Order: sequence, then C-alpha cells, then structure tokens
Amino acid sequence: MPLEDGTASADAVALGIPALDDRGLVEAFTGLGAEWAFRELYRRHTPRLYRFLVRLAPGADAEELVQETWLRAARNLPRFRWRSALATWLTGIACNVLRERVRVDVRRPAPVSLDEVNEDSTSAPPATGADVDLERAVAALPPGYRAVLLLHDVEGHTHEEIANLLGIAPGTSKSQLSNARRALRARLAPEDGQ
Amino acid sequence: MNSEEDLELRLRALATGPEPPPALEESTVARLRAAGYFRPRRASVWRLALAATIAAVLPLAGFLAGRWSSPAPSSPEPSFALLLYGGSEESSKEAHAGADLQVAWLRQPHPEGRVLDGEPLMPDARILGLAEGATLADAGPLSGFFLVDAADLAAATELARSNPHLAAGGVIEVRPVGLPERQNE
Repeated sequence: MPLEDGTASADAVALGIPALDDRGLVEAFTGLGAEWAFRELYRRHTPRLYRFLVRLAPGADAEELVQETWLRAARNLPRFRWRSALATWLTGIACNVLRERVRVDVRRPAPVSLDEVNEDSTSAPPATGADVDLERAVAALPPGYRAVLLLHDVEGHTHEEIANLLGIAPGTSKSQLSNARRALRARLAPEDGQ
Repeated sequence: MNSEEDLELRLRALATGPEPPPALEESTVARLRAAGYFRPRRASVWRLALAATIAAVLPLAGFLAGRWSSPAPSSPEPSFALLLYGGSEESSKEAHAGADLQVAWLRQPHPEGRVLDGEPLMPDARILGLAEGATLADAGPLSGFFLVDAADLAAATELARSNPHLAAGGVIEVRPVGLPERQNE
C-alpha cells in the first residue's frame, strides 16, 4: 500500500479542522468552496455576532441580520486583506447591515438628555443570564451610546477599531463610552438602591 | 450603587448572552449554497453503483437512473484519490502548519494534472471489511485526501510526489476512482 516515498516518521502532518485558524478556513472556503470551512467560521463567529445584533437592535430580526452579514462576508472575503482580525471585519459588516436594514444609526450623536428612552427600550433582548437589569438598561441606551458600549466593554474592541467600524473619530468613541457608562449607571442606580 | 469595576465586570459577563438558534446555521448555509458559494460535489461513485444495480434488475428504471446518475464526463482524464495517512498524533501547531501547506499545494499549478478537491477528515472512524491480519497502523489513521485528474495512475503518482505530506513523513495511497467495467455475465 505505501508508496516508496512514504518513509515512516513521527512528524507526519495532518489536516485538522480544529487546528485551522481563521485565515486557513477562509482560504479553504474561498479557494475550494469548502462548506466545512464555512461552517467552522460560522460556528466560531456567529454567537458573538448574534449577541451584538440582538442587543444593538432589540426587536429587529437578528437571524435575518446574521444571514445578511454572512452573505456579504462571503461575497467580500476574497478581497479581505487581513488588516484587521476577521471578527472585527465581520462586526463592521454587521454594523453596515444594521444601518441599512433597521435604520439604526450607530453613529448618531447621543441626545443630551440622559432620560431619553429610545423606541426600542421596552423590548429588552432575550436574556438567558441572570443580569436582566443590565440587559434592559443597555437596551434603553441611545443607539450611539449602546454601539460604543457593546463594542468596547462587551466585545473588547479598542477605540481605534471602534472608530473604523462606526466611521467616527477615536475621540468621539471615548466620549461616547464615557457618556454611555454614565447613562448606564444612572439607569441602574434606582434598582441598585432598592 | 455599582462601582466602576463592578459595572465593567457585569458588562464583560454579557459576552455569554443569548445564543443563536441552532437552525440558523442550516438556513445560513442554505442561502450561501443557493448563491453558489460552495463547490458542488462530483457525481458520487455510490450513486453510479446504485444506478448500475438498478440497470441490471430493471431495464427501464436503469435507463432512467443511468440518465440521472451518469453525467457526461467533465474531463477526458480519469480521476484519482490521493489518500493521506498518518499524522493525527502531532501537536496542534504542527497540524496547523501542515494544513496551511496543504492549502498552498492545492492552489498551486500542477502540470501533471489538476487537483479538484480536498478535505481533511475527522479522527473518528469505523473500518469495515478489513482483511484479517491487515493493518493500517504502520501508516497511522487516514487523515485526508485529494481528488485529482491525471492521464493515468503513473501521472497521478507523480503529481502526488509533490504533496507536502510526504516531506513530513506521511504516506499517500494513490488509487483510481470509479468502478470496474461491467462484465457481461
């Protein structure tokens, strides 16, 4: 059975799906049209994308938004140059989809009044954890605040990344975050005082 | 009242919030499939075998099944499977580097033929029909394969010699793909 070339060695190389990083999976998907590679990419990144979209646009069809995000990603992946992490790039696509489909302008300057409750604030995202109060408070934030807060404090993006994702200045991202945290604390304060 | 640190911790905990519905993966894959992002598989040998069996038993059904299962060959050259053995015990880092090499090899031009497809295989397997005394243990478990077009078995073997699996000490088995010609009995 073995060819004459196949000298036995303990250093043999295997093709292992779990060992592939995002770049390898993208190569297999875009180069081979490999469904298994896309599924692995989907499983790695969709939970985070889904949570982000559910929280940023409560009441919107998050499943449709996720699908549209992946369709656009599939179309543009051959031109992706890896100047950012794939996760960051996907989040940027999700933000664009959100702006176009749901008309949630994540760049919109937050209103001066912290008492303003946006139209979505009454429908908190489905919370499976115990921190329902925080989920509701986040959902009640204005979209501009909410986007920066989610991207920075939940997703862990830097202000530079957020600036690129949302098309705002890094300084704006910092001030939005500061305002968002202040608004969040103000909303949580009465409940905490009980 | 929350401290700044408490709020940050609570926000970090939101990273494990609502999960996407399980059915979303299938519906997303279906949309990408409909949009043509996945390469369609070639006609399966097993479908051809089924058609041949039906043809032997029921001429009309066999005719219909044959038309359904035997597409016109897309290439005049026969196909071969390159079966890659061994290598499932090494580290994640080595496997990762090996996979990158395989993707690069697959995409480079091959004058001896054409690499059509390739897939890694998960380690879980069942081996059926292995002759008593025979073993693949010397080579290790089957870890991947490529499907290639080449003029004949010798050309396919030459093509396989450039695969990085050999340089890494692995073993490749080259076999013609398909069924033996039907004999009139």
